[in-house]
Amino acid sequence: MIQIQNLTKIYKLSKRQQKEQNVKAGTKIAVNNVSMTIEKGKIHGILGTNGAGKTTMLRCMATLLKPTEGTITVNGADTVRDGEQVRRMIGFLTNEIKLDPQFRLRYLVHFFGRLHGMDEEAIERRKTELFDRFGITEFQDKLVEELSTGMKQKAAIAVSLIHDPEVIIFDEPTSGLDIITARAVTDYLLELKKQGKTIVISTHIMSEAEKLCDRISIIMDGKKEMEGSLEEILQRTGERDLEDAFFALYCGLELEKGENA
Amino acid sequence: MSGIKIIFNKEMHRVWKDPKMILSLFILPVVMMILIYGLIGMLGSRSQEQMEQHRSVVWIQNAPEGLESQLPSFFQEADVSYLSAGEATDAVTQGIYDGTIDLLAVFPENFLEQVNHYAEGGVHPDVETYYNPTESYSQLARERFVSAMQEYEKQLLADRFGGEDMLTAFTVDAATGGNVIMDTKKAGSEYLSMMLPYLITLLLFAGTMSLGTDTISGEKERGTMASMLVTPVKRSSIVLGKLLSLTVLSLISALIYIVAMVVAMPKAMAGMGDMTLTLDAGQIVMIAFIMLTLAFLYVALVGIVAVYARTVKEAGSYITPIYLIVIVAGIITMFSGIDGHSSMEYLIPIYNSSIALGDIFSGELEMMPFLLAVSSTLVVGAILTWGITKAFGDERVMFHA
Repeated sequence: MIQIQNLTKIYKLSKRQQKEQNVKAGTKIAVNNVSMTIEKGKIHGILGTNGAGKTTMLRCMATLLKPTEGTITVNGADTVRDGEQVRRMIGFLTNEIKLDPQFRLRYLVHFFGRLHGMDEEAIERRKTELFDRFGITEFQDKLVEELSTGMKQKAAIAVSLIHDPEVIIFDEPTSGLDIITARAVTDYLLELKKQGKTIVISTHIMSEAEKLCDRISIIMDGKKEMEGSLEEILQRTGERDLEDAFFALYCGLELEKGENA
Repeated sequence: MSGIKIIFNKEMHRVWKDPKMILSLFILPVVMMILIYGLIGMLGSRSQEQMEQHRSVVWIQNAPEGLESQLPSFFQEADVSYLSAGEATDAVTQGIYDGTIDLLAVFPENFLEQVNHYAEGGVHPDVETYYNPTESYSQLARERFVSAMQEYEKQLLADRFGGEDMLTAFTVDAATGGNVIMDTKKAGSEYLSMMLPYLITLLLFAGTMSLGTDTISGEKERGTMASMLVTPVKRSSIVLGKLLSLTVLSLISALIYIVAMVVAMPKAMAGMGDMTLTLDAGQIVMIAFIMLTLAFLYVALVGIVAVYARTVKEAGSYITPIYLIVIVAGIITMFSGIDGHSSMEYLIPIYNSSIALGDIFSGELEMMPFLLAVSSTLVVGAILTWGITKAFGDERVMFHA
């Protein structure tokens, strides 16, 4: 279970970043006082536009970033105080994290298994299981740079799950994938859910969220605007599907912003 | 397996399993070095050969009678033309200026008469030469002429005083050629002793530079560093594993290069002087310690730059000025230290290792300066390593957050 309480993340902007982002303020609030609970055995989707704060939230959960305010606990372990313990429990995947292209897939899987403290036999067993599941066994002796985008994503998922983590944090896991590979990934996430894993994903793809997520949090400008099951969100917005619900919420907020300005 | 060892093995694997990396890091520099020094040696020998074979183009004005028979060795190596007294020398001096003529020698009129009838207190007849010191052949022609004239003078004096033995009052080292008393450790090749400290400091840095930026900035840029940071391994283990592997690779690269140089240089540069080098066990141990600590310092220095840089390109641009400092430190040591160095000098990182290496090769390094150099290098390296570890834990540095 992941418990997020009053999470706020403020970035300090360097002069260069201020210039690049065309802002005058020296800070940027990426996540603003967000609380949520991600239950064991459920898939929790975080939806939002680009720059809404989804990736920052996931990075905080994965201990890569420290919250400016608030706390995150993963199965009771605090991400700041017990970082090492948290990292043992999580499998984290994001588009910004890549596998080293100069290495063969087989070597990388063993390397990450060792970093997670696994012995060679356990790594080999788990590798066979994951590679068979994703159909990448025949590519294990290829360099990562020789793999197609889809294969790379499957390989990255296999590597992130080599230690069979209890908590899975995936940032846009199907982004840029063809429909076949995307289906393989979503099917596997459902399988992991059945195994009782705690899963949190961020996505842009509404149909994917509808299909996968038990609960959905909609994040806009760093704030959690709505949270609930798909049915609850549709009921509250009065829309027919998640995409329409998202747009209704988004347009409402833009309108509100315009009125306040 | 400890985190440090896992990271170390991965970094070594990256190099040993990549033929291109092995070629660029270990083989190509050695091949290039042998080719360059071979070329220098070949050009040096050829230039010497050409000088020896060159027939000097010489003009002589007012040549005394029988000069050719008095200067036989000179005339064998020169094509001589003559000018009579009062004849204009402008065309000849222009030829010397242009490099088409090597030498003009002007004898005074009645040269032989003045020599033969010299009276004590009188003015000696003076032979003037015109040559171009910017032209090697012109300089050679003058040397040949002056040397031949000195032999001629010796002969004239022998005639004047009644025998060649009358020209000698005493001799120095005629039988032994000088009795040598020296420290054999200092007897190594002067050239290699001067060059090696400079090359070692430079090569260790060169070996670290590209690998170091790729291993740290490159991994940050490619996003592969973050994949390690979400594992339970300690950040300090990642840093130490990387720095340790870089130190070892840098040492291997420099050692291969140095061994190749010591083995190949005498052959490649044959004819350019003594190129052999003899070291005893103590000197080798000292060199190993200096190289090890210096490699560690370089790796930490490159590491701290690489960790703060956003990209490999940015790291490269920051490292270039440091590389220049390393080059300058090496060059300074090539031309300093005749009167020894102060203790303070052995505390200045990089420079201290370079002068300590120079002292080892010249057999002059004592234990205290050696310890000062090694310990100060280690301390600075350790401080930088601590800085890198802190930076690894800083989200602003690692993720630009």
